[in-house]
Amino acid sequence: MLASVATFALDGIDSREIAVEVDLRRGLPAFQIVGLPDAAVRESRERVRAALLNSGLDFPLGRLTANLAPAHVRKAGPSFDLTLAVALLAASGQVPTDELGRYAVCGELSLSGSLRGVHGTLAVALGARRCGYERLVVPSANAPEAALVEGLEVIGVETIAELVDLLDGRMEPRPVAPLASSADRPSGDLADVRGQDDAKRALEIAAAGGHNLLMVGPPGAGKTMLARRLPSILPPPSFDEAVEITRIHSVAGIGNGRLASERPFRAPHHTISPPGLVGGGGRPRPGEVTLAHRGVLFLDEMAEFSRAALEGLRQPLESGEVDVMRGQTPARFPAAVMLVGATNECPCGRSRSDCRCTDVEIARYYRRLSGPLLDRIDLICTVNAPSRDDLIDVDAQRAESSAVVRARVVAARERQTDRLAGTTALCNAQMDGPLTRETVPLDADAMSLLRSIDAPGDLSGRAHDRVLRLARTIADLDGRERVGADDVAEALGYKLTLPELAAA
Amino acid sequence: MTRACPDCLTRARLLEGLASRIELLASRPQRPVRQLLNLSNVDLLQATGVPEGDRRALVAAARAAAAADADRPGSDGGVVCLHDDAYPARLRELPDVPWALFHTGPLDRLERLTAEKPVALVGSRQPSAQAEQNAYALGRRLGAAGVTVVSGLAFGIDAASHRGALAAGGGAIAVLASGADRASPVRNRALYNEVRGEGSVVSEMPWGARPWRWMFPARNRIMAALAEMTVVVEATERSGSLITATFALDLGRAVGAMPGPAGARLSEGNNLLIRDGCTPVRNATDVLDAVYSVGAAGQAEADGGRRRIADDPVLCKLLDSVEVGETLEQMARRSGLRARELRGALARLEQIGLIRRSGLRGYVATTTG
Repeated sequence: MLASVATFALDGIDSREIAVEVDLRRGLPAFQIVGLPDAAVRESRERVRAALLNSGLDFPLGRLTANLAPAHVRKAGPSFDLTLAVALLAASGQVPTDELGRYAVCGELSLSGSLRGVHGTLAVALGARRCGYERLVVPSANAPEAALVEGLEVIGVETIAELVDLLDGRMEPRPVAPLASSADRPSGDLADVRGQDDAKRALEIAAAGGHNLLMVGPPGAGKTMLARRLPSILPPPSFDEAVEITRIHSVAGIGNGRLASERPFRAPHHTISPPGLVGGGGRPRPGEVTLAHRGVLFLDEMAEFSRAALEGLRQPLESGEVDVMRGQTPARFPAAVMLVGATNECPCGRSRSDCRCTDVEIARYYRRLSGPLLDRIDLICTVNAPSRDDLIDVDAQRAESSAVVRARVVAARERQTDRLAGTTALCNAQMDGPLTRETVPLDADAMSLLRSIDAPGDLSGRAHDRVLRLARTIADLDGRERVGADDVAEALGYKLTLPELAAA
Repeated sequence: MTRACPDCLTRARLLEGLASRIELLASRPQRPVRQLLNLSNVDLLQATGVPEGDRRALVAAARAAAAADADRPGSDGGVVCLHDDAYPARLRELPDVPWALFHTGPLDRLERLTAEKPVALVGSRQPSAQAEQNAYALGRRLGAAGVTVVSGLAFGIDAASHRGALAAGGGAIAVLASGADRASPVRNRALYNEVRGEGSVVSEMPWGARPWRWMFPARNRIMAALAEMTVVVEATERSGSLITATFALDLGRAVGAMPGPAGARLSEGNNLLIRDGCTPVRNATDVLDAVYSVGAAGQAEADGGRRRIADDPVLCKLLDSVEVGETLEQMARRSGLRARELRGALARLEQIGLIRRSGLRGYVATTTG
């Protein structure tokens, strides 16, 4: 007897259709899996055997051959268990086969016959819908996640026995509620941060225009604390974005089992390897920049990251995607992130009066910073350790909450969306040179201010555009269509130019 | 109406009328322009070989044109002659002093610009990128320090110097070979208009006069004479800038030169000057030290800049904050600015040239520390 059941294997953050074929014929009892299985898939034999027997089902005696097609793709992980079991039951006539073509099945079995959750169910469900399957069977733990995908009947099951009952028509599938969005706000509120007005303003501008940001200040001044609050003032993710975020996190196994309600915040340690940052591995796995997709990638101690790792960020920051090639396997991951870097003023990190760094050391430190990333960064802000006054003064007016700032940011983004409709840019930071000049109408004062610094060596063309984009965002935050001299002046204050660093 | 006397105006028109003849004579090495300019009207007519019979008519034509010049409405400029108290005192030191000086803008502006000690920045029309930057920086810092920058509106160093001075909101004087109402070279018209609007364009030649080759060294003597110090930013060995430097030395004025790379053809002129003992100039501080006295640079710059923001108490407080190295929070508290205004205010101070960025370490005042 021959049976075939469909499942989906994770491929990057997508899923790929896999047919699990089982051939059962008379012969010496044997069970072999072919089709490039990895160790976890090969061990599947033992789990399937025990699970079937422990669930009161028969494990057929005979020569069993399972093939995972297409045969040239490496298969990994335990999510083939359930598919294999169903195919086996079908091949041995324990479940009806006529309906099986409409099902896709995925899940890990325990020896008792109950099902364990697997990673990446959302990606699997999207794949199943794409390939035209009507029903998707997943462990009930994963069912709400899969149910986010519309146009697909998702069936959550607790045990293999339950699935048999379902296929036999002895039981109705339980209704599955799609994943609720998580209500908790883990990222904290901007109101918690005392003082730091300069940095807060820079965060607001960065959030409003999608600009990359560099924070400068001594250790312990609150750079991480501020950056961590950036998602709380970014516009909340749309449903589609939330699904994207959840799917990536589900594939990586870092989801919290809920639909993302906030944008992700990733802060990899500076010792991270280049593949860890941009993705890679034997089977390409998404890196930190993909895990931060639609959110914030925070690089603390940016100068300490390896050159190769930082270089790797160039492409994703440019195009919002990253292509990695490992062995024979190319993969493309989404990587639309806002980059927030943090660095000390100098290698020792002490305040200016206590600093013992030599000029050479400082020059070397800056050189490490410059180059690949700094020309993608629009803003620089300063974070100083809060003064005693700020900390002690409990009566001081409480700072603005994230919700208030977010409302302004959202309004500014809407203005941008209207203006940039029909272009490739989604926010001010993504405008290219010609588009910038077209969309930033300067009044006479602003023009003369800009011209007065527009001189050889002072402001290169690229830096010039950067200032215009920033000024555009600042005017958007204020709800003004024209960009005034004050906007340009403020943008100049936050600008970061390479010659200054190179010369320092 | 202008204040210049008819004789001086006639002299200017006469020079214009004789321009082609002077051109011919000046091309011979034994008759340098300045020797000709030193002659009286009668001798000049003689020297340029105007036939006896034509002289009267030439002078009459010059007189008529001068009368028209005198009646010219003085709204956008005027003429000041050497018999006037407002005539720039430094120019009088020239042996071949220009009788009349045509200028754009009001006369009191020209007086103000020439009252303190102006500095002439001169150099090649096709400088290296570095030299052009140096000229710009020099012009800007001098402008910020309240020093008038004198130059010739030519391409290259001249233009960069003017731009720097204007960027800092400082005083700028452009000395032209042609009439002061003619933007020359024409491609620098935008810059010409800026200098005309903010500073002053001057010339020895009457309105509308076209430039002849001999007028350039003639112009150079005016630049050298107007300035307390002449700085050659970059010049080849055969550059007109060296002529200006020589004129300045003849007047006993200070001459400085920025050092250029040894062996660089573009810098042979300025390096030669250094070898001959001119003041080496690395930056505006060196110029200010030479013009005023050692150590005065900081004060002059600070005063110049301070004067410019004197009517803005907030910027003054902010500058105080930067000078003592306060953090942004402290600055905000002292100046009463909100975060969103603070960066803009700092950018304006930076633009004036009073503060600058120091790597990642925020701002430092340019005149202290």
